[in-house]
Amino acid sequence: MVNMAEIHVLTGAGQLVGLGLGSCIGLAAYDGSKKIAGLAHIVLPEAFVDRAVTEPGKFADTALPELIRKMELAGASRASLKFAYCGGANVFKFGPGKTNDVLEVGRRNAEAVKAVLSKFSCRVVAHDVGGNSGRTMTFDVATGLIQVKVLSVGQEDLCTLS
Amino acid sequence: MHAVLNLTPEQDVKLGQIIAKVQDLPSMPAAATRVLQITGSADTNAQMIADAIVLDQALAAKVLKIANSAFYGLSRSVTMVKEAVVVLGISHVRNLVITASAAPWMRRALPGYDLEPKQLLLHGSAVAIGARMIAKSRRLTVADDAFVAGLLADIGKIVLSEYFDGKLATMISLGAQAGMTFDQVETKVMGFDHACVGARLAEDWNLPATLVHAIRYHHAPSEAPEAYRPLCDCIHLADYLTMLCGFGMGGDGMFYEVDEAAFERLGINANDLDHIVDEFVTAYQHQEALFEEISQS
Repeated sequence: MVNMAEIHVLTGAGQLVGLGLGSCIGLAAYDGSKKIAGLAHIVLPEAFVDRAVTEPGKFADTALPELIRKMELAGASRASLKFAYCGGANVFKFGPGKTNDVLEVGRRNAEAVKAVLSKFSCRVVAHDVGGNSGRTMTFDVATGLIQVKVLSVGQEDLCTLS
Repeated sequence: MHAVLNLTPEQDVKLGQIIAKVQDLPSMPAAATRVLQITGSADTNAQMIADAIVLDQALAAKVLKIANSAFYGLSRSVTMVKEAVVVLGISHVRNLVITASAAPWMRRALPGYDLEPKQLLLHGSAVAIGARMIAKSRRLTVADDAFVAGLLADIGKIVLSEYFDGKLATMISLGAQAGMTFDQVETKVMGFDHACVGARLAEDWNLPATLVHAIRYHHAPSEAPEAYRPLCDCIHLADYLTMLCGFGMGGDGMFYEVDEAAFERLGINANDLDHIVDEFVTAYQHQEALFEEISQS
């Protein structure tokens, strides 16, 4: 289980689970040749300029470099890494423009993750973001398979990061 | 009777019937209700609270067990309820009493909302912590009420879950097609949303009017009578934060509307939101172990 603001890395076998992703983003990284998998549970788009970062996994802009660092520490090759992410749901909105865009934390999170992945030239295989439903993300370490469960809808394969 | 809900006689009968059909209906122990009433008055003291609690031996045992848990790390164990009230404080014990009283039915699974065991309690705990945090930061006098109201805001789901079992996906789909929030879908299907049903339960338990109003208007604080609006605003914002963080999220997910006027009345600029989310997550993580302790007591 990867709780809010945490980054976990596993090698060989096992599962990484991001449970109850609302506006949060589960960001997965995988080195298929070495079967090294990492998952970050991101809460907010950007670290605060006026506060020290004690949990880099909490913010999109600090989570990605920390995830890569932990993957490399576990033996992963940065050039081999593939990424996928999901989450970023928003509260219901009646019509465009009615709700203040700042309140759409999920959308801002998804945009921040996309931007930081682009900045670090990461290979993104798949993503599933937005909507009004919570998600649970399950990442199988041995196969690289990522499944996303949407409550009341069911579970579907997002991609295989191998 | 049922003044908060302002229902027609026919609606009142129908809501009564919806609740009456539910087996194993949640209840609030008389001792817990008494504690709420006593702590709501100005001349309360530790002895009065302790006297009310010890009338219910099971509740008293829970309070002592939790007070002596690792979470508080007291230097010596407390053996008398009055001692626990003195050491932990009146408002803290009041919140603990209500949480321990509600936990047996709040930790049930609610299949009608796709909520697994303990998820409603997790959600309520998060709203309680968030509402108290917001009330304190705004220097509102409703901080203790905010905790209890936040905890109980969704109790109506316990009733409606029995009617929605097996129908949730259809209801979500109906809402998505019609552009409706989930509470609007509830009203379309049942005639009442979970906020209405929860307020009626709270009235039946003789909970104070402030709590009944907060439960009733937690999704629509701008519709609450003015005197109750600050508390309703705190619960509404805390519920929004809880949804963002996915704490105890069911199939109804985030299909609820944000009442932005609540932010304005609380003096919260939307640009401060990320800081508030951060503080909320930290506050929740700090209290999480206590709720785990209570849910197992």
